[in-house]
Amino acid sequence: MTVIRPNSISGINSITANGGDINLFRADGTKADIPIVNNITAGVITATSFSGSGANLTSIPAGNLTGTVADARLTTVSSSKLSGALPALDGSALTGVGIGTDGSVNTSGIVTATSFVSNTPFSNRNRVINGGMLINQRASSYTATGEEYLLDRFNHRTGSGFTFDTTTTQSTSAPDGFTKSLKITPDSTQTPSGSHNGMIGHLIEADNLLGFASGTSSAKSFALSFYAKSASQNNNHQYSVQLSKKNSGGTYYYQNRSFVVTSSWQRFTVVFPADTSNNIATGNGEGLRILWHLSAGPDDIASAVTSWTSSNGNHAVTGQSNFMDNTSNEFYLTGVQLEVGPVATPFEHRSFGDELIRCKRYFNMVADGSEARSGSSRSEGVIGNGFFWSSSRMMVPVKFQVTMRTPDWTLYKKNGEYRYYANGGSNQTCTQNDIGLNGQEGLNSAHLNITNISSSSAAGMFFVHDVNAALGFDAEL
Amino acid sequence: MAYPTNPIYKLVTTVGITTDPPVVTHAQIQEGDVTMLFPLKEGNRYYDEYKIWCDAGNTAEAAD
Repeated sequence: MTVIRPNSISGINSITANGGDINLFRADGTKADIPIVNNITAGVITATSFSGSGANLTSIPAGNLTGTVADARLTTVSSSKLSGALPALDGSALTGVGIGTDGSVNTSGIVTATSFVSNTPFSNRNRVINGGMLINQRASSYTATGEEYLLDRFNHRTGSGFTFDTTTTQSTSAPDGFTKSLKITPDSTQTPSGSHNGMIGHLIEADNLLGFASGTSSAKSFALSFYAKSASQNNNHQYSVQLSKKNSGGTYYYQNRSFVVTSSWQRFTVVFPADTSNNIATGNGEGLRILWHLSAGPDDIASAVTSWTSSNGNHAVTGQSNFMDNTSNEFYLTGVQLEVGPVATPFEHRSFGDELIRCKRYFNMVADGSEARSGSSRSEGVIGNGFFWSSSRMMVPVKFQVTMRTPDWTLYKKNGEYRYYANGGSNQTCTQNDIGLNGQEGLNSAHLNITNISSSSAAGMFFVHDVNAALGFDAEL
Repeated sequence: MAYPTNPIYKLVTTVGITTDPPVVTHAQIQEGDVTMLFPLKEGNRYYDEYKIWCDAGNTAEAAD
């Protein structure tokens, strides 16, 4: 090894090692820092500081980079390099922000926009009338074994002569946001056989279904939702719901699903697919029926039908329980909604008055003796002003509050006492069987014909006169 | 006037302003404590049920 110990060396261009490295030592013999080296090919260099160009530095570990990167250095950052949670950003200047066709926006905040455009309606979404079970014009309680309307627009239905022996009331048991429900309970136990059916039904007028565009390439889905519960006795009973569309030729196309009730309120949602093949009838007749099967005979129970299938029958789903197997069973129903589109939205609450007017197109209770205020000494309800066509025949025109669905309505006469008052206060009572029609029925008025009376007056007024009497007009489907 | 329980339907005449004699245009049926007076017209649900009942060989009570 050659050792050189000069105080100063200058003008040397090259030092060539003789078979090894070149080492620099301090005066005390320790290895010194390297002050100037142009090309070091191996080993580790440490220094108090480095200066000069770093243009050729490569393979610097990311963890060794600290400090702030100047904005100018961030001109293009690949989207693939962006991941993880975004920090709080001011997005006020974002442009071109869109949602894919399969995207959804969910927020607990408020969304505002210049306009909202939807393929499904924002209002009048619910095609079911009285889905919240608020309106109950006919009675406080219904005992039935066969076909009968109950709370407005909902009916008690049977199939193949089944004794669907029940009592239905308007209950105050209801889920949050509701005050009423339809409650039905068996009055006797029954075992359905063959094609027996016991059902609650809701029939919808055809022209109220135009938005579904059935039978066209623009056909829309049917989103049905409802709240239901049972008593503890029939907790976990399985029932079925059937949707049947009636086409312009009078043929029904149906699908059905099962649902399991518990003694707590649940909201059930079924989205029936659009039907591009089969139309729905138009006009003021039936266009669609919703059937809740509570009992069904074995001939009408099969696997759920999930494509539109032609049948005018009643169909429950495999696993169907028998609601009529115990008189302690109960079934509650409310919040019924049928809407256009693939999503069941929150129930559309309409005002009581709005719902009542809609109901009166199908059933219009003109006078009800049971509706007198509490404490009233009388149970009179005005039917109309009348005149005596003859001494034994009174005519009473009645103007409807709402145009009826059809002029071929049925006159509903509750059995009780009716009375006319003539000029001077003279009066005479009659019964429901003395009330007829004189052939001038229409969409907007009726002309009652009262017989079995006698009067010498020219005019008078006609009333229901006890709590049992009531008079209405029925144009239900 | 007692309502008949068998047959369950009774025909009813309409007494028109100018119609003499009256003609049968309606029938009625008892449903619990309610009497339903319906026109003999297709599409009325009571008439549709009445027609099925008649087609089964039944006959309604004649009008008064």
